[in-house]
Amino acid sequence: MNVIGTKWVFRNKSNDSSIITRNKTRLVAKGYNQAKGIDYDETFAPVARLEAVRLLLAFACMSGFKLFKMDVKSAFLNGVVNEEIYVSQSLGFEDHKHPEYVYKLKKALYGLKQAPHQWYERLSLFLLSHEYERGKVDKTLFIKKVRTDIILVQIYVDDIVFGSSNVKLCEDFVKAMQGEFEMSMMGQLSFFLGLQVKLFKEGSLYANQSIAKTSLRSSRWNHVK
Amino acid sequence: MESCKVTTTSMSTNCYLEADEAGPEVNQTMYMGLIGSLLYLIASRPDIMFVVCLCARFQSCPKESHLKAAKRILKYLKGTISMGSSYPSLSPIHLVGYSDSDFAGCKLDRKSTIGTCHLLRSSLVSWHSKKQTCVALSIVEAEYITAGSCCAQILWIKQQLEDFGLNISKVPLLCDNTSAINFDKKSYPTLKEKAH
Repeated sequence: MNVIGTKWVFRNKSNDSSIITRNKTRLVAKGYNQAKGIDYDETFAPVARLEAVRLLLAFACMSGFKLFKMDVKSAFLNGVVNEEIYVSQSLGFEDHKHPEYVYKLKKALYGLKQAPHQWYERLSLFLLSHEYERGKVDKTLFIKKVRTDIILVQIYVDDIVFGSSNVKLCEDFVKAMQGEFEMSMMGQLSFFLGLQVKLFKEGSLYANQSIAKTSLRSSRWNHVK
Repeated sequence: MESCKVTTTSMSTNCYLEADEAGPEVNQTMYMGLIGSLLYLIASRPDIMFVVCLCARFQSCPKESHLKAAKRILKYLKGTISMGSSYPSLSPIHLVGYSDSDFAGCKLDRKSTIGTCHLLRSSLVSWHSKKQTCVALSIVEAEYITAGSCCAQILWIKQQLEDFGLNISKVPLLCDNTSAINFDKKSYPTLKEKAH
């Protein structure tokens, strides 16, 4: 039996003006110890192409949709593992009576090889069971048509952008997602995958200005003309 | 770099990058970091795509001449920092693909670089610039390969739009080489070509 070690990862989250606002910790599995065929099988997970996101932006402006964004809190923890995986007790939380015991995983942990795959599987099964259809070429696009109305849901791992011709469908989608997963940061699309999206009266415009600024600010490139 | 002068173009017209084996070396890690940041920007900046990809070819052995070209991009970016794509609303829907290539643009191995972009109405949704993997022997061949990859992307966009519930029957693919267009007409009769 292969016991996979665990580790704590600490990260500081800072806001726009680089002031630390939150200290995050996350328990991760040392996935590099996993043996193929025993601890994991498939590891692929589709992500949306940037073109698909842009196409959605253009289409939404054209049809007058409002786009919304939300993300799933600690998404990978929602994935269900099919294999029998054991992890060691986490540092600082050992059981003194039974130090030799290990945990058997029911759901995925960050760091496991199959975590992204299982998360996609879980989310797509959930959406398919709610009568959403998967896109024909883009497997991260989910569509539902109700009479003349349509809702488009584009998934980028744990970030979800969606828009509909009918606000009711959006509300239903949000409700369904909140019932199943822990969600955060809902609202109108303003920042997605490093793209700042600004909305104007006649359409929308995006630029990834903030990143361009950081790139220039980097003092490493100062010395050569 | 924040106090640098601004340039209006991302590269000079006589910019001619080569291996430059005799030139003075620069720190490779720094150069690769710079290219990495610029590559990320391509997500919203098609205007710097070609020159960034050009500079990226010299990452294994960067010289001062390459760094100079890369820094020019930064100077250009400084002046155009607020630019981005716009997606206007309301106008009839149509999709157009543009394709072009420079014949034997890379002087090192005589390979051509392709460039394609796709506009959904007046908004740019997809763009692409890549050095071809094979050596084209004529301009027609180079342009034809470009039109092929442009067409593949059009098919993908068309399919995606069908999923959105939007059917587009005719997609013009614009190409600036008459022989390549005549060549195209035999293989893709469903697509409408126009000489640019």
